[in-house]
Amino acid sequence: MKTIGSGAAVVLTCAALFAGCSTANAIQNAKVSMDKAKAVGAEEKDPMDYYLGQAYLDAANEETKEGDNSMARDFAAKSQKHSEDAIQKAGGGAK
Amino acid sequence: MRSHKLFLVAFVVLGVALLATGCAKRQLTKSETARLDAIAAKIAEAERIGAPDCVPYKDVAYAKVALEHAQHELIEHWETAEADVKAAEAAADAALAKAKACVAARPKPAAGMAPPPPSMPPPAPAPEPSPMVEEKGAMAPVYFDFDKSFIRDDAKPALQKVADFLKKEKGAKVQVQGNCDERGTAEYNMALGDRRATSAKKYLVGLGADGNRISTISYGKEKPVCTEQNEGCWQKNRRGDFVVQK
Repeated sequence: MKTIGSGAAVVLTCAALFAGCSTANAIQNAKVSMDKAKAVGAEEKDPMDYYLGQAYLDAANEETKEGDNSMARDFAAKSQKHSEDAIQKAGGGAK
Repeated sequence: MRSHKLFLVAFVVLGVALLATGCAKRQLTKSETARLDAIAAKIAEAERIGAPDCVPYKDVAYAKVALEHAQHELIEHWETAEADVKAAEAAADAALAKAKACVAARPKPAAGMAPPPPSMPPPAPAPEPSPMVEEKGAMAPVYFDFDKSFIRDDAKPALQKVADFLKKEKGAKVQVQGNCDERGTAEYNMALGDRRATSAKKYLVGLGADGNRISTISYGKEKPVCTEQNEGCWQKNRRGDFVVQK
């Protein structure tokens, strides 16, 4: 019984760590993508997608602070999608 | 042993029931839905009246995300969602106010001239029309929203004229040329121009024009009529041209 309890604790700890890491990675990827969008001038050339990317990134950071990792990952993914669209439309995407 | 098994089954059933209860999504009430709809309407209004040069993109983007966040909070944490809904309302109000202020600050048209409707593009400079089009003198280009290919309301009268022309001139053919502004890759704009030309053709066919006499071509961003880097100029380039081919 003690072994089962210890096993469950390890699994739960790993799951929590994994969730935290994947959220941090998603936000980091979104941030890198936003930086690229800014570098190719997306703020001027595709402001809608650029600012949506920025707004979703801010929201992802807020959700992380509030402990809602699932929503944070969702917002980070949306941020990345919009910043990638902005890069593409600004002419910085693959030719 | 038997009671042990029974206990295990009961435990699993109880666990599943608790999970199902916990995971069930809360439905929004009618008043909540109405509030969210009102916020969305304000954001859409800011985009509509602000087009093409007065859209406060940053405010609109933050308002859209705030709205999405508020909706999520209403479903997941409705007890504490009021602050998020109010934040979304404030963001939408701010976006709309900025758009209105910008529109109000636009230069007024000269006396005696009717102001253009909000969705109309700014007056285009003299483009380089095909000589044949100029000959007919009736085929004005149609304009599209940024990164969009749907037919705007202000494009419908021009398309009606093209459709009427095709119905009247039975031997005539028209080529619809899709064009885009300079933003985005050449490949992306080539595809977007194609969608615009196809969209215009579909609309013409819907008006009763013979689709066999309408061809489409995309020039992507290769045929701009304006080369400045501002929204007014980009709007002039996001267009569909009509060229008569006898």
